[in-house]
Amino acid sequence: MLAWLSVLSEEASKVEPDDGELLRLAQADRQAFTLLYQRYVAPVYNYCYLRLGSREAAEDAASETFLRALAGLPDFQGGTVAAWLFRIAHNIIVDLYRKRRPQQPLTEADDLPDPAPSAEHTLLERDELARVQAAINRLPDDQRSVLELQFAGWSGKQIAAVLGRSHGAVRMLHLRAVERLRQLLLDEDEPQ
Amino acid sequence: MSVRDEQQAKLLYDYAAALRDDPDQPATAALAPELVATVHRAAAALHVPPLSADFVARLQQRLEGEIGVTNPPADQPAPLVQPRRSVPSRVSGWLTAAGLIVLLVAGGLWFATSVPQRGVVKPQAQVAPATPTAQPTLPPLPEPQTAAEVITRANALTMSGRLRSFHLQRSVVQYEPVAGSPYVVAGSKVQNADQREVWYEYPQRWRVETRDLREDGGQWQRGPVRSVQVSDGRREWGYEAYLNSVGVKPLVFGTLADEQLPNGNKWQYLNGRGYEQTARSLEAYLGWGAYITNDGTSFYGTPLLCYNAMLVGKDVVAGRATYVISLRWLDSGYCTTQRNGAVSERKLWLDAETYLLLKDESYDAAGKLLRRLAVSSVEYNLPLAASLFDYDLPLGSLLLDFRSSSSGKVEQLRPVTVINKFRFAVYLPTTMPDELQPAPLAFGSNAQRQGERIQIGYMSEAGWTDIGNQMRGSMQAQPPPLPPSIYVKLEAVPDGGFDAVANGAEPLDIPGLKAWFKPDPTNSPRTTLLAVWPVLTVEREGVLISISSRDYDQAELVKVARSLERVAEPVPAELLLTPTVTVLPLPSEVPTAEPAAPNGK
Repeated sequence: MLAWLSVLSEEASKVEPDDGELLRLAQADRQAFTLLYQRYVAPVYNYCYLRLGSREAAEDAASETFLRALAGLPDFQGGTVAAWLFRIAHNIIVDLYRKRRPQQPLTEADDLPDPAPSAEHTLLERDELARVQAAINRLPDDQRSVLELQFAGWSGKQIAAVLGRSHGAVRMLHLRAVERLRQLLLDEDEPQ
Repeated sequence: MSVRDEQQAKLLYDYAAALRDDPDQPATAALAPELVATVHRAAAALHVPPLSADFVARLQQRLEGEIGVTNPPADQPAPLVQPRRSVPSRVSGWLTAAGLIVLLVAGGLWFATSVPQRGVVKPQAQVAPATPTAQPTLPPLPEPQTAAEVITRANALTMSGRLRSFHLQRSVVQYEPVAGSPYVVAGSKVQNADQREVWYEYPQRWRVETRDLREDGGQWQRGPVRSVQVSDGRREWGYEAYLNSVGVKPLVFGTLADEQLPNGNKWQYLNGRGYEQTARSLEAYLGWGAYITNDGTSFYGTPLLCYNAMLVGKDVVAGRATYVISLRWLDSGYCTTQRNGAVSERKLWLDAETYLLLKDESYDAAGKLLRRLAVSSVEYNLPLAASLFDYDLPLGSLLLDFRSSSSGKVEQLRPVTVINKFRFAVYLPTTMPDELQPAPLAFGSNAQRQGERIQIGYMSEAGWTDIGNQMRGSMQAQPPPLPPSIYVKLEAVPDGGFDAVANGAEPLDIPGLKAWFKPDPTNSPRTTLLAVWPVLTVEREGVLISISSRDYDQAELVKVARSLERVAEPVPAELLLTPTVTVLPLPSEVPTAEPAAPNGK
C-alpha cells in the first residue's frame, strides 16, 4: 500500500522503498517476493533485451532470472537486491551466449548473429541504429554497462550497486562512456 | 578529475536518465552539444520495446505457483511476516481482545453490508456466501515503536501476497476547499463527498463502485452508482454513468510519477512501486495518495517530505485496531515553498494487522477539519465471487479503448473512427493513399498530455506493431524498409499563433486553407538520422494540423489536407478529466454479455 507513505516518514530521505526490508520480508514469507518481482521485472527485462536483442529471448531470460532468484532466496546473504538480480541475469545471458556458439570467446559474443533474427533486428543492422549499437558494444564493459543499465531503466543507486561503485563514480563512468562512444562514432563516420 | 568534469558528468547523467522518459526534453546549455547529440544517438540505439503486460502477468502467476509450493494455500493465510529480530509483543493481549471484537463486529457488519448492491452496471456482483466465518484473525506483529516502522510495514505488507482479498466501504468528505481542488461547489459547505465500495483480490483484481454522497437535513444520502472500475487482472474497465461510456485499458506496470491533465491539473499518483499499473490504480480509487491539484504539485506528493511523522497512539476504526500517525507540516526552508493549501496536520489510522489505511484526516493550523477519508467496514481474506471481476458492458454504452500498441497484439489494434473530448475541434483526413490505414492513437512521445495532442500514424498493416517505437519519439530513427507512412498531429494553436519562421516553414497557397510547408532542406535519404520530415501544417479554427511524411510528396500531403473533416467538437475543460480516444468497432475480445438494466431493474 501507499507508496507515498514511505515519503512521509522519518526515513523521508529514501525516495525509493527499501529493498533490504522487502528482501527480509521475502525471506521470511516468500509471498513478499512478488513485490521485488514487480519492482524489478521491467529493469531486468529491459537489460536482457538490450543484451539479447529480441523480445522472446529477453522474456525467457527475465523469467529464468526471477525463478532462480526465488529458488536462491533463502541462501542470499548480504549485498543489494539490484546487484543480486543483475548477477543472475548476467550469468543467464552469458550462458545463452555460450550455448549459441560454444567455441566463441565471450569477448566476441556481442557480434554473434541472432539465430532467429527478427525482422526488426535485421532492419536495425542496416542503418544508423546498428552502427551506434556496434559502437556501444565496443566500449569497455563497465562503460557499456552503465549506458545499458541506465536506458534499461535502472536507477542511479541500482547501477552503483550493480557496478560496485559510488553514485558519483557511476556518473563519471557514464561521461567517459559517452565521450568514448562519440569518438568511436566519429572514427566510423570518417571516410576510409 | 576536474570540477568541471564532475559537473558535466552529473548534468549529462541526469539528462540521459530523463531522456529515457521524455525524448523531447531540451538539454541545458551547460552541456556540451556533442555529448548531448551522442546521448541521443545512444538512446535511440538502446531503445527497448515496451514490456508486455501479458508476459508480466504470466510470469507473476508462475512465480506465485512456485511460491505456493511451500506457502499455505490462499484460503489458509500464513502468519504475518515475522521480523528476524525477536521483539516481545507488547500488544498481543490488546490485539487479541481487539480481534475478538473485530470478529463480532465484522460479522455483524458483513451481514449488514453484504446485501447485494443493485449497481447500475453489474447488479449481480456479490460477495460469495460463507463469508461470515471466513474472516480469519491474523497473528499480530510485534508492536511497532515508531511511525517509520508502521509505514515500512504498510508499504511491505499491504497488497502483498499476505493480504489475499478485502472488501470495504470508504467515504471521503471534503469539508473545506483545499488549494487547487477541482471540487468547488459554490454555496455549499461540503465541497466534495463520495462513497466507494471496494472488492480486491490479490494481486490485481478489483472492483470499485463509486456513489456521490449528499448531505440532506443532517443525513447523508447515497446517490446512484456514478462510476465503476473493474480490473480482471489483465485489463481495467471504467464506467462513467454520466457519459454512459466504458473505457478499457491494459494494466501496464510502470512507475510514472504523474499524469498531466488537459486543464492544467495534474493527477499525481504512487510512484516508485511496481504494482501501480495506471494513474488510476486501485490505490488512487481508494483515495490513497492520489489527489488533483492545479498548481503543479500534489497534495500527497513532494510536500510530504516536509511532514514530521509520529506514532501517537492507537484507536479503533470500523471495528479494527489501528495505529495512529500524526503528520505535521515543517514550515521552514524548502518546505515553505512547497506548501499547498491550508493543511497543517494530517492523521492516519492504519490497521494494526494488515496496515491498510482505514482513516485519514486533514486539518488546518487552527485545527479545523478540512477533509476526512474513513473506512466504515472492512473484511479481509474472504472468498470473493469471480463474477465481481468480470465486466458486462451496459446497454448502449460507448466503448473507449485506451489500449495502446504497447500491448503488442496486432489484433487489438482497430481503426480510429471517432475522436472526442479534446479541448479543440478535431479534424481527421478522409483521404489517404490506398495502402495506408490508421494506426492506434498516440499522444505524442511519452508526454501523456491527454486531451492536448493527438498523433495518428497512418501506415500499412505490417507497420502497426512498430507504433511503440514511434510513440517513444524516435521517429527519425525509423529504419527501412518499414512501410510508407503519414503522420497527422493535432494540437491547439499556441498563444501568438503558429510561428512559421521558428518551424522552418513557408506559407503555402492552398485555396480555402491557411497552410505552411516545411521541406527537407537536407534532401537526405529517408533512412538517415539527418533526414528532416517534410511537414504540411494547416490551421483551422484554433487547431493546428500537421501532416508529415518522408514517403509522399507535397502534392500528396495537400490532398490529405484538403480532405480534412471536422469529426468532433471542442469539449469544455471541466469535462476533460477523463481521457480521450474512441475506437470502433469493438475488439473481438470485448465481452458482449446481456446488458444490465438501468438501476439493476
